[in-house]
Amino acid sequence: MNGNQHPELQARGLRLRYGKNEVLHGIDLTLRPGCIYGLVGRNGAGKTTLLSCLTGQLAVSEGTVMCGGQPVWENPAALANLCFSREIGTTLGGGPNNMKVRDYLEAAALFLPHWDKEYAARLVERFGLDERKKICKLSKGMLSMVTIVIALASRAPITILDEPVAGLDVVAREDFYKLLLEDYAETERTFVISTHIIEEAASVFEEVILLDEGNILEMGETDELVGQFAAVTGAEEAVDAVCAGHRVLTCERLGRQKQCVVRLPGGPGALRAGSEVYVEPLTLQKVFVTLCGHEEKGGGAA
Amino acid sequence: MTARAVRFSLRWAAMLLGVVVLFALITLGSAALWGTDSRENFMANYLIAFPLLAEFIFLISGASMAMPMLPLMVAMGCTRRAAWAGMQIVTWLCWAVLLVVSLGMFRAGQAFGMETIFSSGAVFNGLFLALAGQLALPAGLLEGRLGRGLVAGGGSVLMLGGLILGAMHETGILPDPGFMAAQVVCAVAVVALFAASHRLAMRLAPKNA
Amino acid sequence: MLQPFNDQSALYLQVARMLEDGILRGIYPAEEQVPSTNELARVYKINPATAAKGINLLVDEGILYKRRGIGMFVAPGAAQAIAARRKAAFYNDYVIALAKEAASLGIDAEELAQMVRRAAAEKEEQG
Repeated sequence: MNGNQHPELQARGLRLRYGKNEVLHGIDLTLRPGCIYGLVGRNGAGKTTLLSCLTGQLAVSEGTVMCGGQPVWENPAALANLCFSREIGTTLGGGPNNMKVRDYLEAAALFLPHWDKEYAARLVERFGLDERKKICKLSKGMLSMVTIVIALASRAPITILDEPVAGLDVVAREDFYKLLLEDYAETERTFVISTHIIEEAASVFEEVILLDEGNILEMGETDELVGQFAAVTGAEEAVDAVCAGHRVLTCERLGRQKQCVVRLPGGPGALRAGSEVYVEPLTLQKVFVTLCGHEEKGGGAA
Repeated sequence: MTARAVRFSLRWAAMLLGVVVLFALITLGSAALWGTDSRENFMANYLIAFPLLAEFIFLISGASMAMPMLPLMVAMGCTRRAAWAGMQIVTWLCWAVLLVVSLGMFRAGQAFGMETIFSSGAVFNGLFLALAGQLALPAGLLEGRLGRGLVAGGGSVLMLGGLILGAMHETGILPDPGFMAAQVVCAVAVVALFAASHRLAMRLAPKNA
Repeated sequence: MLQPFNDQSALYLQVARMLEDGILRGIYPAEEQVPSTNELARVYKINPATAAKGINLLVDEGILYKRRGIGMFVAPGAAQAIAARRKAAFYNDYVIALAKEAASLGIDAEELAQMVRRAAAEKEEQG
């Protein structure tokens, strides 16, 4: 652990139960150093819960979480490598959160060993944040910005952001991605960003983790994962013929036209498609909706 | 890491203690200026009631201010152990300061020729409130409503119980040795709750981890 | 120059294609340095690994070469190589689609050939 500037974060057999209800089912995950990960999943999939377990904020019911080979739970050496920045609540213990932005930044400066004070100051200025303002008086956008300042200025080797752009408008979101990539170019640290605004963030993620109802559905290089899917559109008979023998995930009909999403581990090259159908690739967002949009699942496996 | 938790908690404590000390000075000042007859100088009442009032200020504002600080520390990567230890160190330090100030007020009251209440009942009240009140603080670290309820609720019940017992003793309803017995029972209850809340707050990892 | 990326093909391929376009159009002549991975990542807001993948593809194809400690440079003859490769792929990438569309509109081969000749002539006149 000494001098390990780029530690790995690993979960094995991670389960979390709230009473009888199991929320995370045996998660196995390795986050390698120096990669930007996207964690995508529907609301309630367990993203925040998973991230909380990975950073020692929640005790796991079963399984291990290790950072740089050491357990994370209540371990200062492991925790020193981590930063979990999440949405700050506007209420605290039943009343409004009267803590100031400054209090959060001071706590961060005190407890995060890699904290970069100048960087934090620059970011606060860039975002136009008033440090003296109380958390309960901040707009949703400003709350997100505080989250982002803490995450970036933490300079933690493994920095995790939970829905950092939730309150931001599109211009601010673009600014965030820019800041993120600038920081990454400089520090090459590990980032994990959970979001459900998928498509615009997709180009920033080197690897993507799809979490669905407490299970990791997919994990891998973004390009590679997305490249396995194709949408085949055309007349119903033609589409069925082209898709025969392949793994069909969803189908949509409009009159006599049909569109099917197929998954081919080797890519759409394996499809024997002529001019009678239109084959096009999917975006990450479309892949996600296909895999995780349970209500929309139709058609059949060929 | 405990040292950092202490540093962080001191800010809150310093602010609160400052309020209490200021209040003490104002009370003393008013007594010096306008005398100690409570019919003429309303503030003079506080010379007698000061210890109790200070404890309440400390307990209630302290708990509501300190409680959110604990989860904030943990969120920033402080261990629960260190956060707990830091907060405990600082709160007990504060109680010590409060005790000193209260004694000072008591002496001042005597010097002004006031009759001040300083019986075993009052002492019991003071110390007991302190112990029971400590229970409210860890509620900031506890997961789940049960834990928080146990601690904050248990602490409040004990506090109220302590007040009632103290008053009963003062008014002669509950003389010694009954009162002594009651104190012992309460002390045991406090310690037990304290230990339970500590265990809950640490959320000791499951045995298979 | 700042083209937005579409969702028609993998991001790294689009990066490679974009650099190729630049080389072909003479924006990056031979021996000229192309933008670094980080610059590309910064400007287009993509992950540097993706940008690197695109650049590495071009390195593998001999379009770019690396000068240690300095950056990526356009190889001599790169523009010609790209043109030659695209010319060979022209039939598959453009002509087949053209024929398919024409067929679906009922334009016969002769009519199509006339249209193509006319367009090519106009282009040549414009120079």
